[in-house]
Amino acid sequence: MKEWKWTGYGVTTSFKERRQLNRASQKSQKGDSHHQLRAGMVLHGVWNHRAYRIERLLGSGANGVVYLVTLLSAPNDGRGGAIGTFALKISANAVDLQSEVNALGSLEKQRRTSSRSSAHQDNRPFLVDVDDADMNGERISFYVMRYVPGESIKAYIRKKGPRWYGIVGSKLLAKLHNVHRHGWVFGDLKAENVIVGNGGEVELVDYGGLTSRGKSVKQFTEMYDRGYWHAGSRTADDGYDLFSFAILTIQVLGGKELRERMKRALPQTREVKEVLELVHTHPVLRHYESWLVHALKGTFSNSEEACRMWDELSRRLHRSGMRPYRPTPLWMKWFFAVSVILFAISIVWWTGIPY
Amino acid sequence: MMKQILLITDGCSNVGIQPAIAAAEARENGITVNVVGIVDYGTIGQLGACEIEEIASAGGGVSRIVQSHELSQTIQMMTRKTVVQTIQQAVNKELKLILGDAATDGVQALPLEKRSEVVRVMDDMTEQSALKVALLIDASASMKPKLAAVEEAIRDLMLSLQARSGKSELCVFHFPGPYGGEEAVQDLEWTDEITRAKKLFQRLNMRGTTPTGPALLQVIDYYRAAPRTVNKEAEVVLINHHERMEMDGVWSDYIV
Repeated sequence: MKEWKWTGYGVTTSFKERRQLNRASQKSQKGDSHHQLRAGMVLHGVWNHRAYRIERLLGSGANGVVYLVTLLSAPNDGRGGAIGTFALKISANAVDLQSEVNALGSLEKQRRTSSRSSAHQDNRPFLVDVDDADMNGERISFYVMRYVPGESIKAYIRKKGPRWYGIVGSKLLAKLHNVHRHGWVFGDLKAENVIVGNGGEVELVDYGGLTSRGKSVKQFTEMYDRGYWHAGSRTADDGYDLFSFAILTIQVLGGKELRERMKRALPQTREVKEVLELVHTHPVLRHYESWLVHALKGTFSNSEEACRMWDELSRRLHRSGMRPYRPTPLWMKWFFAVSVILFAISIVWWTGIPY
Repeated sequence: MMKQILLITDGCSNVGIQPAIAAAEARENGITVNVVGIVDYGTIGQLGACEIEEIASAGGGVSRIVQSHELSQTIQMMTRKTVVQTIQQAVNKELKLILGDAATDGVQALPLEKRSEVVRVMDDMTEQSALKVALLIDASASMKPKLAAVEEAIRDLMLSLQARSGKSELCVFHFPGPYGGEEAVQDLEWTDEITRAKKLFQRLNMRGTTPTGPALLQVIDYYRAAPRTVNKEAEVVLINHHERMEMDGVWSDYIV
């Protein structure tokens, strides 16, 4: 059997778990080392003849590594300059990569045909290029996609405050609904795979879990998986993504509490009931309870209904007296600490004088 | 039909035939043997780790040593990955026959459009081919605290198998037998019902011996005893260019 790698289909893991897995499979990991590309290297596409310069590592997922790259214009046109910035994904396994490209490609095609008839907002192409390159005497496969500058949804909400979740969540649900509309299910929805851009736009990254409806979900993360929570099958349907979305909401707004609860629970008794309890008692999650109950129990008939209900809920929330959340700026904390110290020094100074 | 044996153990065998020999026999019979070593405190020991690797390599599969909370994820991944790999191997072999030495890179030798087509068919096979997984659980005394995790992992695997469109079945054996003998005990016959995979090991009498080898042989015999699917001439039309790819007989009656 060919060398085994922890890439490809299957479960994606948190960083900590991945580190453990890597430790256990260090031997096989060595085979992957040549896929580490350095900044400044140039990849020349064998079939489409485009050249990409590696800028830096963006991240690594379950089945590949993603780099930030610059598309270079052909050297023979005299300019040889940079044309644009993209994200480029390399996988150790050409079949897995191609499978992902196939899914992405057909989703794009369906999107394009439908956006022609109904003027839908999202018709910029996501998939830019698919090609092979020869690197250190070996052929590697890659594909190039749109690059979305921004930060993960978790970091965004931490910075801006939980009141922003209504809007961001609504945008994310609309994205998912758009995927579902064309007969696909995103699969591996988790905090790391949702990027919020600087302008507040929401983007899904890592389409490795994209599965056509009715098939078995190609790639998922345990914590976000419906089956892991004993709450349903691993067959791809709208409800699968909506369940992950509910867990994502809990992760973003009450991640600490969820982790504490998980630590106490045994795997055999792991149940959605636990999560529902947490939602019911949590000061922020409580507001989304009516929606989350549907998603966790799988009682939404489709994602359109889920979108509608979310939007209503978030509209109501914005108009209610939900306590505003404004984090104390770091400079203010420092300022306070410094003034306390100065105050203490002045007391010592003042009490010292009569002596 | 794809056949797999998944052995879950926590140490060395100490009775009967060498398990690697049994695993080699399984491979001869078209059954891939994967092994998971499960360890919670300390290590599995040099000898145990060696044996686990040896069994897997003789059985054409892979081995992993994990903690019990990683078990579900590990066996789920192993099973799926083995299916994918079995298909990839067969396809690569056929590509080599068609394209000659150019095909050492597998599907990468194909131009992009054709590759896309071939991979689409491979994906369908991964999803639709019939699959049988026999789980063989080491239930010697030291495994007792881990059996709850094993049960959960079996439930989890069943869930993943159910989601496939192809017929997927699972059976469960444990060893040693009730009197500490060499024979393995069957807990579950071939099934695709998840409800049957509950409370498997409730009244187990745990013993000290670990007859891994003999237990493996018994599972192979069980595979053989199961009614054979008719081995039609294995032919799969892969690409619409009428390139016929002859398979190993692994998924004999799969026709696209």
